[in-house]
Amino acid sequence: MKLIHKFIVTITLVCSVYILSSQNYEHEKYTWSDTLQKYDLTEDELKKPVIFLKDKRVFEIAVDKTGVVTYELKHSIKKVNTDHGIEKNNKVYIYESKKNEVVKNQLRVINPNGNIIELTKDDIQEAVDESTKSKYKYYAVRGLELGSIIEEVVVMKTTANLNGKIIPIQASDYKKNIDIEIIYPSFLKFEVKSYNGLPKSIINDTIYDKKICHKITLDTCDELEDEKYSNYKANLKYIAYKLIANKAANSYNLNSFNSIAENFHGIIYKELDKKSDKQLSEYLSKINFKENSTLDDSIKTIEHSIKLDIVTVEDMPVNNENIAQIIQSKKATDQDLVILYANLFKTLGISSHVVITNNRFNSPFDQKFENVNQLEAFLFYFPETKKFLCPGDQSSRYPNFPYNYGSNYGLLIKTQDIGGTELVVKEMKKIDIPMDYGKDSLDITYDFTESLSQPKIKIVSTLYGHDAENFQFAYSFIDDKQKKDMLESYIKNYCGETELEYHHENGGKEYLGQKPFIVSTEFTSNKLLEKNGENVILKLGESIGPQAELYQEKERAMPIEMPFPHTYKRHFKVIIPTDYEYNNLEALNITHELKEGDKVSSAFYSSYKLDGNTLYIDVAEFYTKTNYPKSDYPAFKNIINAAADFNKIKIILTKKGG
Amino acid sequence: MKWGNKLVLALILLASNLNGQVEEYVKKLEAKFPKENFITTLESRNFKIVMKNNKPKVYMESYTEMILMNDYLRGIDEASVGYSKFRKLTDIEAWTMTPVKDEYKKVKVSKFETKKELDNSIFHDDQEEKVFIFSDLKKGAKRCTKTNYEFELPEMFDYVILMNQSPIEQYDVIIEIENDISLEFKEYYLENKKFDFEKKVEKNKTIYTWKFKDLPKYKSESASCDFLYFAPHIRFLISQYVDKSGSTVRVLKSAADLYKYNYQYTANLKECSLPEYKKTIDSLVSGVTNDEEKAKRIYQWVQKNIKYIAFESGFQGYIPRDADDIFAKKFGDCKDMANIIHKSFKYAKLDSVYLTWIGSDKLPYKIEEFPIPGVFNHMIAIWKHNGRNYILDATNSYTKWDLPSSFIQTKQALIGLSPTEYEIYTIPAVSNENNLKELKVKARIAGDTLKGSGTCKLSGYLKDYFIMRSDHLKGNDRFKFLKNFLELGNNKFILEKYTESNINELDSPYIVSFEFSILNYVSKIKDELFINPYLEKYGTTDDLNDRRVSDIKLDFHSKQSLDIEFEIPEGYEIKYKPKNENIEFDELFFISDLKDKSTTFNLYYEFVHDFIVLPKSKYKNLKDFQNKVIDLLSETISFKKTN
Repeated sequence: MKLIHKFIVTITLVCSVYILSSQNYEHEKYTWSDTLQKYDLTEDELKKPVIFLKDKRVFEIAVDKTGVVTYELKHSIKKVNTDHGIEKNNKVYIYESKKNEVVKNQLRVINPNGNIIELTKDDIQEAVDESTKSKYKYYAVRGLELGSIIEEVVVMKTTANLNGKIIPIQASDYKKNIDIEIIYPSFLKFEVKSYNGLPKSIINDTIYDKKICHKITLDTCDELEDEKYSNYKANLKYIAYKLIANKAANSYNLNSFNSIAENFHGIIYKELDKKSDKQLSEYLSKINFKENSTLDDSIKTIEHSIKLDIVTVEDMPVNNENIAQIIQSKKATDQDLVILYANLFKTLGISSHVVITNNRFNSPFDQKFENVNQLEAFLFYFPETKKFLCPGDQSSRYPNFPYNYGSNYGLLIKTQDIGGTELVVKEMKKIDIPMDYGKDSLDITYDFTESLSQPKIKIVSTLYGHDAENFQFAYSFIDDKQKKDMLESYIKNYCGETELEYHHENGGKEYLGQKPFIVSTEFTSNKLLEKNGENVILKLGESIGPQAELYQEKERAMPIEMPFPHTYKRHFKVIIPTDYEYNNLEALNITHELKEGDKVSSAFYSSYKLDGNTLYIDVAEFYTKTNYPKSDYPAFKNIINAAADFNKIKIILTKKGG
Repeated sequence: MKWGNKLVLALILLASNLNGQVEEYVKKLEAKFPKENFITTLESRNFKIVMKNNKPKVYMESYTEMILMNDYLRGIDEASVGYSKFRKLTDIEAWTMTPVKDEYKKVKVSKFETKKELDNSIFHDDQEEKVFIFSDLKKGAKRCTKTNYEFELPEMFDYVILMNQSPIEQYDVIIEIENDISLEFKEYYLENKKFDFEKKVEKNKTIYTWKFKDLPKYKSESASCDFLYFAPHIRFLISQYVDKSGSTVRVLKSAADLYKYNYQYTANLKECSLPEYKKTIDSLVSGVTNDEEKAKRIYQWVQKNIKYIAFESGFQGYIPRDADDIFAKKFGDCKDMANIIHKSFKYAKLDSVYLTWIGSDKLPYKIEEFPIPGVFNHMIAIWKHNGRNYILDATNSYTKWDLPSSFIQTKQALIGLSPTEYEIYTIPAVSNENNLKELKVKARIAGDTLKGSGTCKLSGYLKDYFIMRSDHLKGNDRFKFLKNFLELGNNKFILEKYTESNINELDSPYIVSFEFSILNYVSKIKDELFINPYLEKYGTTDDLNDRRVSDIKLDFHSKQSLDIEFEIPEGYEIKYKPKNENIEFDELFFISDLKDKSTTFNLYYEFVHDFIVLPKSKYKNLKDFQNKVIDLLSETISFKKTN
């Protein structure tokens, strides 16, 4: 998503007042200590595969002949305690490009017997990529043994990222002695923010001459283990910083979204050239709107027509200069598509606003810290329907959009009439994922009337929304054999059988968002039965497929986060011969709910009805939200486990009077 | 074919409007290869083998022409051509033939850039590629690439594989060779292929031509042999040539020539000399009188302390590093490990140790059948002692002493006995008795829960693989891994406690003792209890379908058993129990034995698979076997209240 950068006003630092000192940056002469420090570690610490004894990082924003740069110093001392720890640390790769230059690269291994092995130039290999003008410097670390210490001092000179840089602090390894500094000339002003319980940085303007330093020190930082149903990266401790003022140039409020919103709005809605105007009208006239279309219908129709007609590409292969070229080339970048959609909506009088957001699983959009680097992906918001559309994603259909962008905030750009003047304004918009984003309905009939050992089974699976997407999209591009493979691995989940005859409906991208994807099959099978003389045990639960479980989890550390809201409906019908009867049906009655006040936000329900020899079972499982606080974990766990419990339900069929 | 992967996720646009001839051509192709995103319309390999500087020199011109069957495929415009020091790229040209109205217009690629991709398995090598972008691609357009190569060594000129990620409409292989040079070739899996072959002998040269039509594309399958076990291909070698003086020079006429060729790379390796290195070996063997114990200690030291990192740039890919260097660095690849074992053994006066070349299970070749360096891709050491060959491959740090790596079982090894003597030895497959999973469980019914305790013992490769997957796991991750690994009945298996032993003991089986509950495992109706006693579903997991084309390949033979003692709940007696069964089939066995005692019943069952490769012809039997096993494992036992 390179587009955004076109809208960012380049911040040129006026540095006339800043006299370059003889030393380019404060840590130019920094190196490791000649005397080797001793470390006393606890037994627990020695059990960890790798432990950071030191994690010092300094980010110094400086001005030199080439412009504004950041000197990034990393001084780490790691102890490797296990073979796996050695294997994780015996290869080093350093990425270098025009914007990312290695200034200093020292590494030494200190072995338990005191031997020191230092990295030499001969150790270093290079892998060059001419096409990206970049290279990897890489080397294998010599002499590593169990208990070795790896000490590294690396300085990189990078083009300064002033718009919003994220520094991860917490990781999957345990760390001690963490020391982070952000240094910049005192004529600049930066905002620094700590996340997830990390202490605030302490500002000091006396450590370095004419420079300001934000400092964070921590004695220890625990490793964070991943958990099911969580957003791992969002929960790690990290820092973000960005430039907000250049006092030397009297520039303030830098990196605010206001100017971006304004620029961006100007580009999207700039007056169309005649050719584009004509092409746009023609394009619109070819779209087949349904009669008596509602607003939802019209939005859907526009999106569907464009997505079937114009393909999304990366920046490289296309260079459309206007809407006319977009329509003709049928290839468009995300940016082209935003312009095309926006103008179509405008022409039709459909009120829409552009929203720019990011993938919440990388770092959630912070509405209170305007980080330009989080402006990655585009959506449209329709204030009348309160729904979103993603122009750049080929397979999702309104009101669905890639779920990574949802349950997140975004920058909404709109105009407002202020005293007769139309002004572009920003709004931080919460992007809710529709409650029925993914829906899956399963109907299964078991008919034992002709055979107790080989019942007739009929499965109909109906997938809606996101659940249907993969099938429908893929079906446009794969051959019959691949389709069969795909259906086979899907249906196998429910019955354990393969090589069945499958019937499917609505496969192909033309059905995306229009109709559900349906697959059905009929067969006889004993795979879901257990035998016990004359008795038959139907492993009914297994026909909902394998279920995730949270039976034995340690104490929850992170809040709950699901990818998207989801609903599962399952209907079973079982028919048995008249001389047989059902047993132990009471296990089929299950209710587990997670409530917010009176409202059920997620639940698992199962109930049955018996009509002569026919048994009907209705099961519903749904999660209407993506995020639940940690305090909801016990109730949430019960719902997840209820589905897993259901999966184990067996119904025993016995001969009447037996 | 780097870009091939990207096509899996390709996005395709609507069909465009092609006219006339080009349209007809595309339609014909569509009919012949329906639903393909791209088709290779022509591949050709033209080799010229001539005498240069009094030695044979191999040149190759390669041409690939691929047509797009859809308008836009993400990534299809990106292409790359690989090369190395031994296979030099001397020229490259690429262009698009793009349909304009009813004709093809040529649009040349002007920029080729050098790129080195980093590889996870080989840390450093000399492979590089030229990357470039095709323009003007659309439905019906052709991507054309012409490259020229020069082979540094005549022994390295090797093979042509007649299979691709797309169907190939035509594949031509032409070899023009001067008559002073002798060519040999071997065709693999061409038995059922229709093709034209011609050998034309002219005054100074001989021309071999193969012409293939409509070759199917590659399809990957789970649990199958590597690509070269089914992909049609031809291998070549130069067996001998006549030099300027008129004498015949042997290149690769026999296994002896191949050994001579390999030996040159190890002829100058130095003995160990670093004092610290010698001290380490001394400390390992000091006080040990038994040679096998000495050998084992040295081997296991290498296994544990030398980490696998591969360097394969130029001759670095063939010549092991000196043992001193490996000792100091504490890392190396297979040939380095073979060499440090070799030199360490020699230093410890275990002299009957030999450097050995071998092909892994990725290569289907036999040494004498076609003696080319491409038969090998791995090096080990072999120690001859008491009339036995001990296989020493330290690349896997978990393998038990005296076991080969699983991937060299049944493969031929070339043992270098002296500068001129060698031995070809086939590594035996390790028997199922050495690869055991033995599970012993005591269980009792408590309400609707099955509670119990057990031990699980793993040996051989089953232990290897387990440790390899779990060694790095600690804390909660380890608990979760073990819970999954030990799961009995279903995933309502609660692992209450566990104790592990022999994780790091290479010589003893790994043992984990545990206590468990399986919640809601017992079904109850009226005065009857039902449970399925087959707590592990051995022998039921292979995915097979009739569309499968390749043989089934597993890593090793194994035997898995479960021995359960169930307490009969007080006040109950057995009402129904499954029958004992022996299900046997050539390479697979399932034996189940249930014994009814007064207060307990014992169930023992074992599943053996005794093959590494199972040919496709045996699928039906395998399926029958599986169905029978599934049938048996679905039997339950029931208890009735005694009056």
